[in-house]
Amino acid sequence: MKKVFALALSLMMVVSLLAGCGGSGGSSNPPASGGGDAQQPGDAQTSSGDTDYSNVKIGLMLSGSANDGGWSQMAADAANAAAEKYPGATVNYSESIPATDFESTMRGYADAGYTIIVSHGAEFLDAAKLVSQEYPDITFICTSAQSGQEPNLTGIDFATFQLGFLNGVACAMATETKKIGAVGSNEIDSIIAWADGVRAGAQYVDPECEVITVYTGSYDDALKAKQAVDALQQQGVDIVTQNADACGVGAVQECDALGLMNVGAVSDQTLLGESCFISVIQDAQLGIEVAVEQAIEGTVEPGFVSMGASAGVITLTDYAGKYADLLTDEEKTTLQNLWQQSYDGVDLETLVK
Amino acid sequence: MIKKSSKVLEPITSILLAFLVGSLVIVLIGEDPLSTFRVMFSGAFGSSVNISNTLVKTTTLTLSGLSYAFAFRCGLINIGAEGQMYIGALSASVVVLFMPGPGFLVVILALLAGFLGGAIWGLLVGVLKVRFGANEVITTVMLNYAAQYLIQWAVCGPIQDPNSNAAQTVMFEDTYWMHYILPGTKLHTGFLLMILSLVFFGIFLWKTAPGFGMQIVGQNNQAAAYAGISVQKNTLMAMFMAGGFAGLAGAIEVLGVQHRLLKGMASNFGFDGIAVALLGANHPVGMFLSGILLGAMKSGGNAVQMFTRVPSSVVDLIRALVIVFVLINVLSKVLLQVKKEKGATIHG
Amino acid sequence: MADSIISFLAAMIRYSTPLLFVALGVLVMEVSGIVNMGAEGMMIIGCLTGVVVTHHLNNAWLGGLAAMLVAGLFGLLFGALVLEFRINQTVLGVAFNLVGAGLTTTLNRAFFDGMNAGTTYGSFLGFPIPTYIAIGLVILAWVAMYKMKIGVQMRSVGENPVVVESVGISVKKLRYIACAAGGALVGFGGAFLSTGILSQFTENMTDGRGFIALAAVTFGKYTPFGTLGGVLVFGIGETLSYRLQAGGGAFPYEFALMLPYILTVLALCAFSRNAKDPAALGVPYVKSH
Repeated sequence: MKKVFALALSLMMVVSLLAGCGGSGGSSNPPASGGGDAQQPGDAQTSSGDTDYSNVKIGLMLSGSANDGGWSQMAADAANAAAEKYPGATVNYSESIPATDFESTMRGYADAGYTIIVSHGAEFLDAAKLVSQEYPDITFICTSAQSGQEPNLTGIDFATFQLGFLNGVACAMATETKKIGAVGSNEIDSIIAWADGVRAGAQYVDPECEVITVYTGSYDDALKAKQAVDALQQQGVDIVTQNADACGVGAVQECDALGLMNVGAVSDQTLLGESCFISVIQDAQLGIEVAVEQAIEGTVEPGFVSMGASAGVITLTDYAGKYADLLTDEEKTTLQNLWQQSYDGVDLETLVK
Repeated sequence: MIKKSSKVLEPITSILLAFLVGSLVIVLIGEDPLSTFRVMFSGAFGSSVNISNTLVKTTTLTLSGLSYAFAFRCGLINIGAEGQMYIGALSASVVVLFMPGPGFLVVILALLAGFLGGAIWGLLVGVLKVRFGANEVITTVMLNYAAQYLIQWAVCGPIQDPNSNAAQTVMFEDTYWMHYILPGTKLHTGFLLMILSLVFFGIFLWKTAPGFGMQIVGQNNQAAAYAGISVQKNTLMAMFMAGGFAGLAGAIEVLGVQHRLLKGMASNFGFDGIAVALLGANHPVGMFLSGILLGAMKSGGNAVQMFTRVPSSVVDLIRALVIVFVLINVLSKVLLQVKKEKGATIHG
Repeated sequence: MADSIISFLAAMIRYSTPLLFVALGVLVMEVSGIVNMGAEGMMIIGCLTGVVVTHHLNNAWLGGLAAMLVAGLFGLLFGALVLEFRINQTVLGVAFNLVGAGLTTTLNRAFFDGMNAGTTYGSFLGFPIPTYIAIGLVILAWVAMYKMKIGVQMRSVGENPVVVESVGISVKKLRYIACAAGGALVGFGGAFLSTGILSQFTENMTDGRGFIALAAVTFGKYTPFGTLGGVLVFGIGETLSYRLQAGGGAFPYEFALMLPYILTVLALCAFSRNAKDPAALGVPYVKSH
C-alpha cells in the first residue's frame, strides 16, 4: 500500500511539473526563458549606478568537458571571470559538442539573442565563418584559430608554435640521446603547429636532434599516453614533452616511472610529477578573458589575432623536480632570452631557416 | 481494452518516473528542475525550427535503430551501426566529391552508395560469422573502431578540405544537398526516406516470404533448419540489410544535415539507435515513436546545456533512466506486482 | 633483441591489468548465462568510487574494496532486473553504460571535481601488485570453474538451467552470485585504472574497455586462460600500435591506432571455429511450475 501511495504521489508531482512546462513553455521560446533562468542570483538588476550589462549574453562552445582541468575548463573559467566584471552579463556554455552539432549549436545561441559567441578550438572555425556571416550583429570569437573573418569574427591563436618552440629548446638542451618524444592527442591544427614548434626549437639548439611524435587518439585516456611514452623510450628517447589535455597526466607520470625527463606544456605540469623540470605555460584563459572583455566593451578586433608571450599568454615556470638543476645556467639564460625575444615581438620561426 | 490502454500508459509512466528521478538529481546539484524541463521541452518542440531539428535527429536515430532491429529480427546483435554509418557516410561523400553529373542524379547515387557501403561493412560481419564463427557482437564493436579511424584518416588525408586544417571534407555544393521540405527549417527529404524505410521493414517482415523466413531463423535456428530455411543465407542477408540502413543513415547525415564528411560524426548514434530499437520493440511504428522521443531528448538536451547551468550529463542520465524504466515496465511490473502481493495477503 | 621483447611483454602486461580484471568479471557473468554488455558502465563507477574512497581513507586497497562493493551492487541490480523482470540483457547493458557515464559525470561535477587519489597500490619486481592478483585470479577462476562444485554448477546454469533447477539448485541464486562477483571484479578493474594507473578520475576514462573485455571473453571461449589470451592479444595490438608510431612507420597514425581492433578480429576468426557460447547465454530463465 505504501508503495502505491508513494508512486502515485511521485506521479502527481511529475504531472504537475509537466503541466508547468506546457503552460509557459508554449508561449516563450527556449532561449528567452532559458537564458533568464540561468542567471546567477543577484546578477541582474542589482547594479545601481553602474552601467547595466544585462543585455550581454555570452554563449561558450566547448568540444571537451567544462571540468577537464585543462583546455575546456580554461575557457569556461575565463568567460565566467570576464562576465563577472560586468554586472548583469550572463554566460552559458555547451560542452562536449559533437562535430555534428557545431553549426546548430552556434545558430541556437545566435537565434536566442546571445550577443557574444565564443567557440573554443580550431575545430569550430569553419562553422564560425559560416554562421557569423548570417548574424552580422553578433560578435564571434574562435580560439586557437589560424585566421579570422571581417567584420565580426575574431580568430585568436595562442602562439602554439612559440609554445612548441620553447618546449623543443628545453628538451634539446637536456637530452643526451638526441631523441625527443612529443606526445599529442590528435593530429589537429593546433597540435600540428605545436609539434612543428617542438621540432623547430630542437633543431635550433642542435640540428642533429630528432623529434618523434606519437598521437594517442584520445583526450581523456591517460593510460594511452603512458603507453605512448613507454614506446618512445624503446626508441631511445630520454625526454618527453606532451600536449594532450587530460591525457598528458599519464605522460608525466610514466616519465616518473621510467626515469625519463619531461618538459611540460600548456599548464604547470611540474606539479604532476618529479620528472617534469619546467613547463611552458600557454595561458589561454588569460587570452580568452581579455578577448571576451574586449568583446563586451565592443573593442575586439575582427580578423586574426595572435596572443603570445607579449600578451602574457606564454610564460615559463620556475625549474622544479629532480632535474631542476640539470640545465646549466648558460642554457637557462638561453631559454629565458628566447622567451624574451618572443615577448619583444620576434617571430621565433624566423630564427630557424 | 485494458491491454490497449496499458500499452500506452506503461511507457508514459516509465518516462515520467525517469524525469522524476532526473528532477531529484537536478535539485541535488542546486538547480531548478521545473525551468530545466521547460527549456528542454521548448528546445525540442517550442517552434517549427525546433520541431524540425528534433525530426532531423529522429531521422538518423530511427534509421540507426532500424539497423539494429533488422539484425535483431534474425537473432543477431548488431552493435556496429556506428561503423556502418561511418562507411555509408564515406561512400556517399566520395560519390558527391568525385562523380560529375546533375545534382539530382548524384544525390540518388550517393544515397545508394551509402546504403551499399554500410551494407558491405555489415556483410563483412555476416561473412566472418558464417565462415569463421566469429561472434558478431565483438566484430561489430571492433569494426566500429576501425571505421572511426578510417574516416579520421580520410578526412585528415586524401579527401581533406585543402583550404582548412579541420578534419573534414569541403562543404558540398548545394545542388548536392537533400532538399528541405519545410520552408525556413532544416527538415529534409531524408525524413521521408526514413519513413519509407520503416514501411519497407514492416512489409518485408510481415508480408513477404523471406521476411517470414528470417524471423523464423531469429526465433529458432533449428526449427528454421528443419523447415529448410538457410540460417547462413539469412545471417548474411540480415547483416547486409542492417548495415545498409545504418549506411543510409550515414549518407543522409552527410547529404541532408552536415553537407560534408567530418570526423566523429556518427559517434553515439549507434548506441542511441539500439535504444530506439529497444524502446520501439523492434517494431516499425514503435521505432518511429521512440525515434521521436529520443530525438526530442537530444535536441531538448542540447537546449538544456546551452541555456541553463545543468550539465548535459544529467540529460544523459535521464535518457538512460527512461530506457531502463521502459525496459522494466514500471507500471505493469511494479504496480501490478504490488497489487498481486496485496491480493495474496488478503487470501493468505 | 631479447631485451626489447622482454620490455614489449612487460609493457603489455602492465597496461593490460585493468582490462584483465574487467574481462574476468565479464567471464563470471557470461559463464552463468548472463550477457554483460554493461561492463563499461560498471567499470566507470568503479573508477570514480576507487578514487573517492582512496582519497578519503588514504588507502588504495580500501578504495579498491569500496569499488568492488559499489560495482558489485550494480551487478546485483543488473541481475535483479534481468532475473526478476527478464529484461533483454544486451539492451539493459547498453542502458547501464549510459547510466554509468551519466551518473559518474554528474557526481564528479557536483562533488569530486579534480580529486586526487593521493596514494596508490604498491608494486613488486616492477609490476603493481594487482597485476599479480589478476593473474592469480585467472588460475583461481580456472580451479573454481573446473575443480569446484560451485564452478560446475555455474557452468551448468549457463548451459542448461532447467536441468540444474530440476536437481534442486536455485538458478536465480547462482546467477545473483555471478552478477555480484562479476560486478565486483569489473569494479576493481575500474578502481585500478583510476587509482593504480592514474591516481585520478577523468570522465569517460574507460574508453570502451568494457566492450574489449567482452570480446576477450568470447575470444577465450569462456575459459579463464582463454580470456587471458584474449586480453593479451588486444594488449599486443595496443603496445604494437604505439611502438609502430614511435618507430617512425611510414603509414598514417590512424592505421596504427586501428591495429588492436583489427588484430582482435583476425584472432577471433582464427580461433573461433567450434567456439560455443554457453547455451543459455542471454536467455531469460522462466521457472516452470
